[in-house]
Amino acid sequence: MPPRVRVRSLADLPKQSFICRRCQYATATASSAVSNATSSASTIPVSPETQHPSSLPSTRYSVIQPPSHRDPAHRKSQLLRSYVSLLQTTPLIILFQHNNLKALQWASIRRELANALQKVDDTRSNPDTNPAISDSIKLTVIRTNIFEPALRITEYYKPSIAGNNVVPADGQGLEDERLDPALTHALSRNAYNFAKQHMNQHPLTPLLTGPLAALTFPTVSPQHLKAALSILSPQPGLFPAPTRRANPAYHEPAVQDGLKKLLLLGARIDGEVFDIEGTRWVGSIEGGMDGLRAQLVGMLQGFGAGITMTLEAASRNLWFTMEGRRRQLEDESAPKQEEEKKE
Amino acid sequence: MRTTYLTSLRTAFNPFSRTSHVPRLFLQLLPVNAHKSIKITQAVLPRTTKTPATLELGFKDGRTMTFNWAESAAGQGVTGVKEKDEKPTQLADIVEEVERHARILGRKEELQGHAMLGRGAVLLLE
Repeated sequence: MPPRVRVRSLADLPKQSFICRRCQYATATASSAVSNATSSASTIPVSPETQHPSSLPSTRYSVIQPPSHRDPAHRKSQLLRSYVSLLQTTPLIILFQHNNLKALQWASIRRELANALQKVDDTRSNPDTNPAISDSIKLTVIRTNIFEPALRITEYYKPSIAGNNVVPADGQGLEDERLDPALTHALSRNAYNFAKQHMNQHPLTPLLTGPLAALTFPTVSPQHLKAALSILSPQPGLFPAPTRRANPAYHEPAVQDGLKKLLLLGARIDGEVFDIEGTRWVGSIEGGMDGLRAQLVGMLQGFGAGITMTLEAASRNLWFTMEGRRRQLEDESAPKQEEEKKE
Repeated sequence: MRTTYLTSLRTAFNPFSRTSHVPRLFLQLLPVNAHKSIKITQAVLPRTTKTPATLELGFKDGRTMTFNWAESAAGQGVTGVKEKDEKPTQLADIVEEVERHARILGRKEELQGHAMLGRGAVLLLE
């Protein structure tokens, strides 16, 4: 007898799963997506593998909604996907703690931030190498209990292309189609199992508790970072806040009261974790990435000159010594000749 | 948490350490306009620091409460109000202390207020 294959299709999944009231609005929008998926699944041409009776029917699900570890209709599942995408696409993330800011305070702070970043965009010197990114820089409140697993998946779950496109060819059915190794998306069970092995390993984990907001930059741009830090966590000297005369709107009560409740905690820049001082150091890099490259070039050139000077120093010192001795001897012999002449 | 009797709050913590968990959550428990009535000083320590996280609360009657969370291999040590236990101070403990003190101060104020009302009532009657 052929082995019994227990593979549930999307249509066989129980429909009376518990959904809390908060998620019901997500369910209402997602159920229409699910019904679209099931209808499209039936119209998707069946692959040659599945037509064979004894082979694994591994493509019973829709390509646009593969089986997930958690129900994709829940808002938290979609949040996880969006956070994974955020972590993968934004190399610069600054983390703030926000303590009970009012909506008006949030709106005012975001307005000031947008204005300051727009000014940086307007005054940039090289539009080709420095794209206008002020529209893509967002200060968003994040749900830390979803952000933390998203961080683990981004950092540790890197499915290799060669290993994960292999479908088991032995004809045995998977107990659960969610365990299919071909599924490598952020919500897959493979991602969940893998990320679970790396709990509490990332240095940012202790930061991700309590109320958190993230300022995300699509590229690492120290000028934009400096403008943002001057607004959100000013420091006299390096990151001066705008003066009352220059920007009176910044000093209105909504902005100032809101800023007292924002606390800069740290940053994740290019995968590296920085604390406050590190973040300020990155923000204080003069001239942005172009300036950094120019500094590096200058340092390398100067480094070459320094090396040659060091290597020549020994022979130069010897020359100076011999030259000094020769002059000394000449001076001694010259007065002696004068004395002899006198005599 | 009744924070009407709090006058000052001073805290310093290293967010990259688990010791900062309670002070950070306590900051979140303050009401929206807390900055207007409470003098709040918050400091974020560098990542490599080994100094313990601290939280100091000052009340209207001059009472101060200090809590420390030191990093240790076996967990977190604590000094301050609860010195008999080795368990670190939890957020619930601090909230309970603040509430208890607020109740005491509230009762004192009520008694004084009633005493003043009593005198006022006598004046009215006269």
